[in-house]
Amino acid sequence: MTSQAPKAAVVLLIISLVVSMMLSIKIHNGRDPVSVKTAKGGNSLFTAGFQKALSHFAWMRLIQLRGGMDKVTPERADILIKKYDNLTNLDPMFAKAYEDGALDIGWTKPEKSLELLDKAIELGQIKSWRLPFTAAFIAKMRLQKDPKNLERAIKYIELAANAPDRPSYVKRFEISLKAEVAKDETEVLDLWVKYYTGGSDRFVEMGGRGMGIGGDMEDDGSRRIALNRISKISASIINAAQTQLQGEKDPSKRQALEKRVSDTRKIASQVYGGSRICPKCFKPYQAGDRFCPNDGQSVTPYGICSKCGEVTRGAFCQKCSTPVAK
Amino acid sequence: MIDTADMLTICRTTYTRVLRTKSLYLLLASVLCLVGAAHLYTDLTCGRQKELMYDSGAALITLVGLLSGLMVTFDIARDLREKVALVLLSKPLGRAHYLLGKFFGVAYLVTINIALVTVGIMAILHWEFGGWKWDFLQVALSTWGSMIMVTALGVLFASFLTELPAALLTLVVFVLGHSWEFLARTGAGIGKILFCVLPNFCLLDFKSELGNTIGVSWGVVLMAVVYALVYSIALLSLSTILFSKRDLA
Ligand SMILES: [Zn+2]
Ligand SMILES: [Zn+2]
Repeated sequence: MTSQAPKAAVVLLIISLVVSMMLSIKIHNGRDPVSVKTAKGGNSLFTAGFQKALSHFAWMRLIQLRGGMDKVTPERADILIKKYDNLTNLDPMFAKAYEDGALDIGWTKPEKSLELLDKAIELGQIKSWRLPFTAAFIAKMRLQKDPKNLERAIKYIELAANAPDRPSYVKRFEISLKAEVAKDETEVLDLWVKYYTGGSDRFVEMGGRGMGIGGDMEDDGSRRIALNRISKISASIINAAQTQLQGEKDPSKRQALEKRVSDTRKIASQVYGGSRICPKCFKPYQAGDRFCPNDGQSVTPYGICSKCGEVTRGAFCQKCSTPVAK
Repeated sequence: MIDTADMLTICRTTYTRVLRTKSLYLLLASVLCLVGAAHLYTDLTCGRQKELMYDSGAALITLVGLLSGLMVTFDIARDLREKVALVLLSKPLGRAHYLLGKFFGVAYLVTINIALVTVGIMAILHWEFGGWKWDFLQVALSTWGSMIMVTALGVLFASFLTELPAALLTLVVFVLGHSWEFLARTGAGIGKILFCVLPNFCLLDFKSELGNTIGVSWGVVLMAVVYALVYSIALLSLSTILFSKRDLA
């Protein structure tokens, strides 16, 4: 054996090792670090790249196990927690596993259930509103004795409300949770108005009569719910302020109360696209109405021609073309 | 200068010998049946059967490649035990040619097997998903790269060990090589150096990302394959050095 081969081999060995080192750094940096962490789970050593395939077996066994349980006792919950944890180590992107797991153990072990959901949320890779929504739901329903947990629920629901494709009830759940910690009704009214307008100016213009476009108002139902809430809360704020006004002597306090009344009125009428609203129930009434169609409250009529008395929706009388004030 | 005829002969005899094994085709057929059977698992997986099909396809490609690659350790050990090719091994450069011939023979086998299984799985996935899953080619290509590396590892260990220890050691390195990700995350420099120097199969494992439809760029996949090939050159060079020192009397 000549020494020729080893010498060439040594040179080749050194060169290829150096090149492969440089490549390995480039590949490692070229991969999205989050996805590497996500994909590898970090905790599933010695699975030789089979973790994703193994996760299916873990999942099927878990379904069987769960199917055999008629009730999740605390002991069974502990078993399930471990299984779900292992499963989500094998496949950290398995959104349904987090959600199912959290719901399975949410009643008996709410804290553990939130831990599981936190694991998914911290990953930041699953863009589903369902996970934070489930977390908010569990935090609210199971842990609300401690007011600190209400804050927790709000944090979760904010995540859910900002996630893509979330249904409108997620946003309404957010408002109802925030209303619980709001300092007064004005703040709650503000939440609903913000929800209703949804950052869309066009929608405000169209008011209660228009069609919702995008945003939170994807269906007629949520629009009606929001308008109802706005009317109800503004009525309640104004009634309370007016009751207070009757007994109030201090001029500066009176001024503040009066301002609150007029501000609230303005907000409510803006929501209805500037149309006239009943002073009692804060719902709009039509041109020509003399009494609120909702509660019979007498209202200041509008849209009536001063010359012939014809009711008109436009700016001019349809009978005699006299300009009519809106 | 270098006479590659010996090498080609070794290469050809190696893969024809292995390709003649009937159990191999049985294995390939049963792999495809397994992947196709995932379709029946709709209830058992709670509607996850498409993912199951994709992931089991990826896992089975790995298994087929691994079994094909590991054959090199048995093949070399058998040659040495039965004193085949002693004439060649006594020639200058003969040992290097012998190892390279073995490597290319088995690498050819690995390539054919992975290609066959990939075509089959792609067809099954097309039938299940109703469209081509082109990203599965990324799984196949990166798996092929890592199996070339496994073959080179097998050659390395077979150059100084008997078949069973060589095969086991190859497997152990394959498994451990998937666990180096934590080395890259350690802040220490030594961890980072080890991450770069040790055979790193993490770099070639895109199965989880692709199975979760995160998506990997072709550039990274191709770079990973180049890494596998370059690292295989390093392993083969080391094997030649070790093999040239081995007493084969
Ligand atoms: Zn009214
Ligand atoms: Zn008129």
